[in-house]
Amino acid sequence: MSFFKLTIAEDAQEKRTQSYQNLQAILGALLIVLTLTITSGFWYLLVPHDVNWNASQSIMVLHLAAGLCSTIMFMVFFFLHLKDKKVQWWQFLTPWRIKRKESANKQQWQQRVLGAILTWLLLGALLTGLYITFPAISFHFGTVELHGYGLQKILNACHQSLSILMVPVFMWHMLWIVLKR
Amino acid sequence: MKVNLVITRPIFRVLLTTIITVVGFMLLTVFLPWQKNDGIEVGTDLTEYSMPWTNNSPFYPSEWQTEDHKLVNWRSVPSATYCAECHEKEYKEWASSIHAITGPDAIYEGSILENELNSENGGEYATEKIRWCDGCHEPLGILAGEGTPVVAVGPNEALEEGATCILCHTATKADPLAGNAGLTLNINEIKRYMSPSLIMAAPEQHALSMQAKSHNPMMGESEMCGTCHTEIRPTRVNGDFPLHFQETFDEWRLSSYAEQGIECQNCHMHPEPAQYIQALKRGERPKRKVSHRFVGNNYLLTAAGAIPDKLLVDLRGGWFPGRNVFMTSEEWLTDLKKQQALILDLLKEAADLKVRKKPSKNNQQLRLDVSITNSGAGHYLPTGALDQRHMWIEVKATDEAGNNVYHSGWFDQEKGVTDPNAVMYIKTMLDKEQNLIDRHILFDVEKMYYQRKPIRPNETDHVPYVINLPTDVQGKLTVEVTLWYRLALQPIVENIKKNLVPAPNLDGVIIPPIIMKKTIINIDNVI
Repeated sequence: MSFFKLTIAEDAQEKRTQSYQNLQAILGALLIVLTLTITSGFWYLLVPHDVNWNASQSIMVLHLAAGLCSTIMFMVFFFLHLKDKKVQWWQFLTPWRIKRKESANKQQWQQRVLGAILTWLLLGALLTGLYITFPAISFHFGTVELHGYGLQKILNACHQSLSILMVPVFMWHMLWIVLKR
Repeated sequence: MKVNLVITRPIFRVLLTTIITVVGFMLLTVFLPWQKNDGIEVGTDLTEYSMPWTNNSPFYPSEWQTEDHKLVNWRSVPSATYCAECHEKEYKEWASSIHAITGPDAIYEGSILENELNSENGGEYATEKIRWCDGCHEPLGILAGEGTPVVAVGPNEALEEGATCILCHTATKADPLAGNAGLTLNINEIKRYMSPSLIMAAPEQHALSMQAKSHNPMMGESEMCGTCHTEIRPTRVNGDFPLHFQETFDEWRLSSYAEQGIECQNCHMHPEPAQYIQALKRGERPKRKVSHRFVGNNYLLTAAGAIPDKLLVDLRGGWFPGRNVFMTSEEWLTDLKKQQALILDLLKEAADLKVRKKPSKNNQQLRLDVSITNSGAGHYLPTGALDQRHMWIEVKATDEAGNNVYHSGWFDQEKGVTDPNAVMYIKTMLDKEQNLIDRHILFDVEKMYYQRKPIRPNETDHVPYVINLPTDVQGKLTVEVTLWYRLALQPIVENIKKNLVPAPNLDGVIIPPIIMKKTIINIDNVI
């Protein structure tokens, strides 16, 4: 088992291309902010606020800021990644219909399906988060727009469940699991 | 099957960021300063605070409790205007309500000063005794420690606001049968957000701290209201036994409304209380809607347009908090008119009046049965401070020529005096020398009795009238029967004139009564 393999691309020539370098840069930044978002979100959710409410608040601010950055970066990464993998954007709408290319092995095909599912979960988590935050953002622009508390609770439940589902899929997608028979 | 795990650079970044973040959060949690409780400890933080009767509660003789037994920190307690940043609708409703002025209201202020300074039983601990009244009327002042001779409480708009948002919204327990503000608050450990925008982004903790009804069902129950709408004079103030002055909660508790689960909030916090009661009368149970107007009976301090603006503002103890920030003066005055209309509609929906002619022994005698039914109130009618709030019946009979042949229950509009022989639903209070107490000097009350007992929910009071007609009366008679309601007796105005500096100009001001119900019958068989 090779434990530290610090790049995905195998081909040395491919690694030198501009698009690959761009993708890597975006991916690097996205991973950092997304990790920050996930960690801070779960910290706020799981660590009792009574331990230190001010710390919870600071972590929530970080979660909101990182979440906003993640959403923007994810959009950019999403299209670059699709282009890189030569996949049409609309294919992520129907992951169950993604056809296996003749040249691709089963694991690569599974990885694509998993990628589409991850995209759905990520988008869901990020967009519900954004929607939950909308009143806070509008307040800063001088407008008070509150969700009803019921809607707020539903949105929060969606945001949390999608995030909980997203984490293992995210790890699975990234881990590049190779099954050797 | 063998799993070949490859840790790529992206995975490495994720793991590293996670580890750094978690360690950072742990350090933040351990080292970031945070004061969980900002209450003020009597004896440690406030050494001069007077507690002459008990060490158990700094609020006694009011029944307030805080979960940590500390005073509220006057520096940090939020005003209604802070809540208004987001809850503007609720704030505007409240700003027109009587709850917003339970403290500054000139009628209360004048009366409280009279009790404190000029009553027989104020005495050495008059200021401490006032906690009993101020507990409900100026609650944050008492909770912050103003009810002591040496006051060490700084200025804060919230303390002047009467029954303001933060009080009910931090209440965790209620003891309505103890009354006198028998609420327990978790007010010193509110989770304070860094910014209102953070409340909006993650409101769960706010909802928990502010006792949202979904977390604390008590917010929608009568027990909550009952704590202040039960007034019992403790023996420390005066007397050998506790004296029950107001029992509105208990009146409701023993009524069919309580059995049916119709809570105070159902009617009094409905946006259109009269419509809600009409629906109840039709046998419907409309879905609960919530408004923070707390529509009750005070048609006087909401009488915008009927009273000059300046006088109204003086009587209410000043303009509303947040004036010209959330609402202009004109908007507020317009809203007060709406508030008064709701109050009048509610009062008119409370009772039904019927008049029936009964057989007479002779034609010179007219016998009437005037029946008043408490058809729309979930408590007695009238209720509250019954030495002041009262109803009476006016019966006026005229002959065909329009001449008065009988008149009981008249009201003198110039002096503000009612017919002393009227059938009146009022509590008469006497001091130890048997002098009448008609200015709400509750410290001195020794004895009290009803002239006519208030009417229980859904019960009917039959009042017989035997009218001896003058011998020259002939033909048809018109009998006009009116059920009047009046907020307070005229002498209460003297408390304002005597004690408030500067006193509002009350020359010629009469506390007006309002008509709850009126009916006219024609009687043919008089000779």
